[in-house]
Parts: sequence; structure tokens; C-alpha cells
Amino acid sequence: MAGLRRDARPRVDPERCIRCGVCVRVCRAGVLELRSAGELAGLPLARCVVARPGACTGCLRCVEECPARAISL
Amino acid sequence: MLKVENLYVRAGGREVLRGVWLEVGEGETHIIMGPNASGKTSLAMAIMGHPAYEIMRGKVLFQGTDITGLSMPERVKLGIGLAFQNPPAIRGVKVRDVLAACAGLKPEASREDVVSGLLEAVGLEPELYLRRDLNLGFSGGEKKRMELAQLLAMRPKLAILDEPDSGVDVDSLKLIGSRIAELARRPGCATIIITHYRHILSYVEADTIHIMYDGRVVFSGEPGPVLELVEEKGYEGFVKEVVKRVA
Amino acid sequence: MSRRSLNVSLEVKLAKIRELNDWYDEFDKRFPAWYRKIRLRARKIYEELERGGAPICRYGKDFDFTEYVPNLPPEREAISSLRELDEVEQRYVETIGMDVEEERRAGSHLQEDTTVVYSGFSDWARESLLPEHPDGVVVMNPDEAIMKFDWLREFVHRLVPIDLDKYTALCTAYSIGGVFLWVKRGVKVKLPLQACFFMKAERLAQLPYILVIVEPHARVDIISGCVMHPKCFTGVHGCITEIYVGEGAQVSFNIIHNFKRGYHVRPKVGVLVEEGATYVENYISIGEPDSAQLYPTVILRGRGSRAVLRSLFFGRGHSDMDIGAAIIYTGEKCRGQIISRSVVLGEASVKMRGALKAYAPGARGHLECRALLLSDKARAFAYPNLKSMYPDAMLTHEAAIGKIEDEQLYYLMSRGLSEEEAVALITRGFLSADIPELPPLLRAEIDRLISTTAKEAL
Repeated sequence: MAGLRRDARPRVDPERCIRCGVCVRVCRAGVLELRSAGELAGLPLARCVVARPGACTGCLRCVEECPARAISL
Repeated sequence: MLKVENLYVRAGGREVLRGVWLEVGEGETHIIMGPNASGKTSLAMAIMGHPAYEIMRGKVLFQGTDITGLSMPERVKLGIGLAFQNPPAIRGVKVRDVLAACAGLKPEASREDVVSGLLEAVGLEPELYLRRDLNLGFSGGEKKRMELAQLLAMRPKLAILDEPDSGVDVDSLKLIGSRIAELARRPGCATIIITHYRHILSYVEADTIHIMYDGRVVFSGEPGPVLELVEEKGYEGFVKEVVKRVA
Repeated sequence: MSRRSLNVSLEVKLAKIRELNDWYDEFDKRFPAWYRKIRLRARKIYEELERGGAPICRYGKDFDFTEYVPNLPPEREAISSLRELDEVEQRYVETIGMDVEEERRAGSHLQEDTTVVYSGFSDWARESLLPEHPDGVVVMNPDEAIMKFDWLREFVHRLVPIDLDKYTALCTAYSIGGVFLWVKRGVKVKLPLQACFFMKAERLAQLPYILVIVEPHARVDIISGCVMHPKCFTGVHGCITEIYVGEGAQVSFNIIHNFKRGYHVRPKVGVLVEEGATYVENYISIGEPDSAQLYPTVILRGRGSRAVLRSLFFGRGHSDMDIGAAIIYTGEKCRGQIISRSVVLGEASVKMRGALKAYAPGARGHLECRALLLSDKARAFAYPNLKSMYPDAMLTHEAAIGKIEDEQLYYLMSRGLSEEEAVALITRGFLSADIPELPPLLRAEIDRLISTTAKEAL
């Protein structure tokens, strides 16, 4: 199990993110959030933002589960 | 029409028929009764030519021809048909297609009108059954009716029905009974009915009844008194009685 | 993964890669910067993975990509109608569901090797659909679409991560051609669009890129077939397909493959489904490729969205088939179904994978993998996988591998069917997963194949 790191925070690559929301769901500390960013060709655009970086425990769940491999720590 | 001469059959690693003699003439209806594992189903399967039942000794003759070496589909073509006691469920294969195959229709030309008629004849609502997987999730009674429908489609010269009445409720028995009676009355044909109950005799007039025990036919004769004796003494008691009388 | 097939020395491979990269540097000059950047990154990743000796894909049989050429000349000539194909070629494309007459189609897209030789709408579309919705449906070569629509940068090469494995990296790096389909809001295309990928050059690695964007409340059915010319002996076909299904939209994607020995097939499919929308995918393979590996991944993002993924395929000869699907639930109350059926003969090996992963409440899903073994050497493996983060998920699975039961066979034979006819009936019943979207030409082809299979099995 990854140890707790006080300075850990996830980084979301905006060019890879598909706005699926898996990371938001798996994060137990509520670090990440999906914020709506309008629409393109009728499809919702969203930005995945690091809303509460301080809460991150470095568990790596978001990194592992992201289907687009868009997150790194 | 049918002559079984001194038939010895093995199935599932054991001897199931030990010298069976049987003769069924054209236009006749015969009943076969006996306790479980007496060889009734084995006899039906052996006559049918089912690959799991191996003929070790003896002969089966159909309309004068020795069919002992013929395959099952060949015997079906000659005009022998069997309604199974425990038909398997076959996922994905539709009732409509099997009935069409029984009636000899090519798969592409399965005529729903013909097939629907067969289902109605046995009291099954066509719309509810045509597109279902064969026997999948069917109750005992439904399976028996499906077997009968298939047999009616095949119109065999020699029709063998293995317990067509077990698991069927009293109301349906009337319909099934009359269909079997119609089947038995067809000119130029013969019918063998395997059953546990004398109830079937309310619908069908039988010429001969055979009692099987331990892989042999131990008695053949007129229905009436025999049935009373069996009911009174049970099969084992009946057999003892027969042995006593013969001795 | 056998090392024998990777005999070629690393130096030789890297030299080939360098040559390829030079060619693509030229080719890529037409593209906007953002797209060139993605492809360059993919090329780096590919080269690194090649140096590190990584297998071609995480699943499926390994092979050496450098044996094949993705940018093969010559350019094929454009045609003005599918009827211009010669009779033999017409027959081939028909076996994978292409309607040459376009009577029941909205439009066609034909790519021969790396050239899109035909792309256009049918008479029906021109008369009934387009007058009502001018520009309602856009069908183009994706290379051109990327040059024209800059906003595609929000959608391209995201659903299928470029570094998923060596294969996605090289497809991203070297893709040429494919299909870009864009259906506008509310447009319901009642007849299917057909795309055909025809391989005619020897040793070709055909790497088209398919991007489908369906706006809210639109509807489209796609038939995508792949086949190769009999005079070819070896090649690779695999495309990256990304499909975006907008709110309330309905999309069906039918992939039909008929490859023969000597071919490796690796489509990579990623789908994102929005609220209340439905995505149906049917994968059918009737050929005998050396290896095929598929693992379409569908993300049900919108509330109440639905996906049905079916695969019906044959494992024949010495084929190595690794076919699966995954559905990821991130929206609430979504429903998913994965149905996989394979008929395995000869010495083929079949692996069936399925995964239902629920990250949101109210998930409903069913996963079914069944294999019918029709020969002594046929092998099948099923790997069903269920995962849920929420207690109210209802996910079930069913896996079964077996041969035709004697009891069932003999029973049908007692109805007068020959052994061969009985095998054919049971096999047909096994494969009939009720696919309404199946074109009749294909149904006939599958039926024919089942009869041949029944003969082979005996």
C-alpha cells in the first residue's frame, strides 16, 4: 500500500482527460472534481480539476483507474 | 409390423435387456408396464436405434426387414418414431425449427401455419411456444405435450410413447389421451405406449399388455385381469405369481 | 509470447523505424501542430517500447510489427461507385455485409489499402435524408477532417490511450485514412452507413483511424467490414476507433471480419456514452486469422445510459482469438450487457474476456461468455470479471465452455436429422444471439459457414 505523502497531489493532463469521472468516484478524499466547461458538437466538455490538493493521501487510486491514463502524481 | 427376438442390450456399462421377445402387429396398440429400471425405456431406445444402447445379441425386425444394424436416422426414415420420457432442453434451438424438422420441412421453409397446428393439437398456444428454446424451462407436462406434437408431426408407422402421461395434470390428460387414441387408430400403423398408470386405458383401446421385469418381458396378455392383479400385488408380487403359475 | 518470432535483431528494427519516421515526418506536415505533436509523442513511445522488447499487446499473440509496412504505395484509384469493383471483389465485400447496390444503405466508404477510393451517400440519402438535413451527416477521410476541424483536438486520441500498449502507440503514430463520421443533433439516419476496409497489398499494415461523433438525439448504424484480397498472404489490420455518443443518441457499430491465415487483427475501440444514450456493438468474425485481439472499452458516463456488446466468432484452423469487452460505469443507473459466443474447431485457441466495472450506484449488468468446442484440439478459456464500488449494483455473469452434448445430438437425430444436420442446428442455435442489426447477406454467409463447420466437425 502506498504510504501517506503529505505533499502528494495528482496532476491531470488536460490533453488526455476524457471527463469520465472515474477518478472523482474512486478518490476517497474528494480531491478531484469534474467541472462543466460548456459544450462542443453537442457533447459536454468538462475539466477535471484538483479541487482539494491538500487532502490527497497519495493512494494512487486515481492514477491506476483512469481509463485514459491521464493522471500522474 | 415389429418383431423383437431375444434382444440383449447394454447401456451405461450394464446389461439392461436380457432376452426380450416382443411382437406387435399392424393396427395394434400395445401397452408396456413395469417397475422402474425394468428396461422399458431401454427397449424403446433399442428399437429406435439410439447409439447409447448397444445390441449385444438378438434382432429387431420392422415390416419383415432386419433393422438391427441400421442407424437411428435410417430407422426414422423407415417410419419409427419415439416420444422420449425425459427429453433434453436444447438452448438456442427453437420449438418452431424442431417441429418443422420433424414434419420433414426444410429449415428455410419452416411453415408457421403447419407448426402452429401441431402445437394447438396438443393444447399449447402457438404464440407462446413457437419462438421458445426447446424444452428450456418447460414443466413436465409441457415437455410431454411437446413430445407428442413432434410425434404427430413425424406421423410414424410405428409410434412408441415413453410415459406420455406422467407429470401431466388431470385436465390435460383428456386432450393428450384423445390425441394418442387418434394416433393409435391410424390405419396401417401400430402404437406402443409405456406407462405406469392404467388411466390411459380410459382413452385408448389396447390389444395387448406386456409386463417387464428385470430386463425381460415376463408377461404378455389381455389387459383386464392382469392389471387388477398388478394393482393388488404390485410388480414383484405379480411376477412371483406368474412364476408360480408357470412352474 | 514466443521469442522465436522476434528473431530480427534490434538494430534492424530500429533502422526500419527510423526510415518510417522520416517518411511520416514528411506526410505529417499537412496536419495542424496539435495533431503532429500527438503522433510524434506516439512514435517516441513506440520506439521505446520496441527497444524494451515489449509485446505487441497486453493480450493476444505477439508478432513483429516491423515485418509489415503501414505506408505502402501505390495510391489506389478513386472510383465513382461500388459497382465499379470487379465481380470477384464485389463478392468479397459482400461476404462482410457490404451492399454493393446500396439499396439498403445511407452511404458507403471504401478504403483500399491506404487510399480512400470511394466515399459518398446513396440515392436514398440524397433523396430522403439530406434535403431535410443538409450537412446533417458528415463523412470524410479523418486526415482531412483533422485538417479542417481544429476543435477535434478535444476528442482525438483520448478514449484509446496512446500508450495503452505497443500497438496503440504505433497506430496513433502511423495511421493513414479511416473514417470520420459526424452526425448532427437530432438527425436520425434510418439506413446503415457502410465502411469497408479492403487489403490488397502484400505485407500491408492497414492502420485506419475511425472517429465517430454523434450529437444528442441523433441516430446512426454503422457497418464496418474488413476483408483481404485472396492474392495476399500476410498483413496486419487494426484500427483505433473512438466513438462519442451524445445525450439521448443511439448508435450501433457492427464490425465484420473475414481474414485468412497470415493476418493479425487488432482493432482498438473506445466509446463514451452520455446521458440516456444507447450504444450497441456487434463483432462478428467468420475468417481464420493467425491472431485477432479485441477489447472494446465502453464508458457509460451519462445517467441511465446503456451499452450492449456482442461478439460472435469462429475459431478455426490455428487461429488465436482473444476477444473481450469492458464496460465501465461512471454514471448512475446505467445498464450494460456483454454477450460472447464462439464456435471453436480445428486447433484454434479462443480466449473470452469480459469486465463490468461499476464506479457509480444503480449499475445493472450481465456478462455471458460461451464457447462451443467442435473438435478434440479446440481450446477455450473464459475470464469474466465483475467489480463494484457500490452495494446496490446488480452484476451477474455466466460462463460456459463445452462440446455438443451427446444427449442433445441423439435426441435431434431421433427426429430424423442426420448427425451433420443436428450439429448444424445446434450450432446455429448456439450462435443466434438475436442480432436485429445483422444484414441479410451476412446472415446467409454465417449460415453457409455453419453448414461447412458441421461437416468439418464430423
